[in-house]
Amino acid sequence: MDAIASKSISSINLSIYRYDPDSGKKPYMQDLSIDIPEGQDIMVLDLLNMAKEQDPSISFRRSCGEGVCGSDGMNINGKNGLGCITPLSEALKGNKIVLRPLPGLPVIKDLIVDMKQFVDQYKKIKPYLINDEEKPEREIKQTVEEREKLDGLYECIMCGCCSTACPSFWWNPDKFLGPAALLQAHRFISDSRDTATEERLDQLEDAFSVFKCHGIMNCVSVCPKGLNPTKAINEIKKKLVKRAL
Amino acid sequence: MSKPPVNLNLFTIQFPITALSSISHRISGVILFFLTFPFISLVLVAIQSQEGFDYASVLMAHFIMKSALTLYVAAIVYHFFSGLRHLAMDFGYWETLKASRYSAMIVYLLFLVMTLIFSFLIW
Repeated sequence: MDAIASKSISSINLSIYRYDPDSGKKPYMQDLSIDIPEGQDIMVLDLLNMAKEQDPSISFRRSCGEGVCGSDGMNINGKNGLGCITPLSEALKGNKIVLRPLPGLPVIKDLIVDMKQFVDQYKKIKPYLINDEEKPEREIKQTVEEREKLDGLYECIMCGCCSTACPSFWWNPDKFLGPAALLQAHRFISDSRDTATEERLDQLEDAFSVFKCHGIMNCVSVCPKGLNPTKAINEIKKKLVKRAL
Repeated sequence: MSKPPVNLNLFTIQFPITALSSISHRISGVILFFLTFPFISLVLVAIQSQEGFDYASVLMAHFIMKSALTLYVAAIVYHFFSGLRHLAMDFGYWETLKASRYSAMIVYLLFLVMTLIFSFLIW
């Protein structure tokens, strides 16, 4: 904040990952110098929009611009986050900022990655309520306490920052479900209205799906919504162990 | 179409102390795996006979062996404290990022202090 507020720096050195599948060239880092309005803080996404004015070929996803849609997940100076809610003052190192695509996923173009592996893992956990009981006339009721169990789980926006910060997911993106999918798995396991708890746990009982998590907390440290997938994963592990005893 | 690139240069990615703690645990584990058998063997040789003991003593006086023992003890110390931390987390303690960071720092601190003490005894 100080660096920007002091008005001593008005020019930001942006280094951005570039890859164009049609060019036949390997990915490279492009350096740009961007003048930012003095004395005020802007978001990384704003900086990217300014960069795009200089070079319109720069590609990135974005939509809501306020940390709700989860489109602009990227690696900002080494740490995953959403461009739209990461202030420049927080991300800058000196007056330099390096933007790369989310790690581990195939790059489609520049900062745009192919989220298929991520979404496939999400599909596996059946991210919807399963209830085979006779349906009541209106909604299936929950007590306040039962509803509270979903806090810290339902808020996930599926931006992919956590799973792409996780080494276990980098090395086993097809077998380890990854923090985002597991947080959702726990969200439905914890839901008092869901009747498929046992089946859900059965599906997670192998050596990879959950147990490849070694609790290194990269996911927690990058989550833009402040959620704790490691804790959710530990809860699943505890349920699996308890069930086996 | 050629295979798309993947951005996975580990030197460009920032790792929190909790991640460093985990990789240190692995590295120390690998060191234990390779050094436990040689050192246990040497202990067995030393307790067999007077000659065996003399042989082990001479061997252990060499700076390479002292260095290896220091490395081994350092690995034991780290793996022990870090292992306790992991067990605690498995039981549901220190699950927040803050607590996990502090516990990782404490493990590093204990490792440094204990390794210094043991190094002093070895050298």
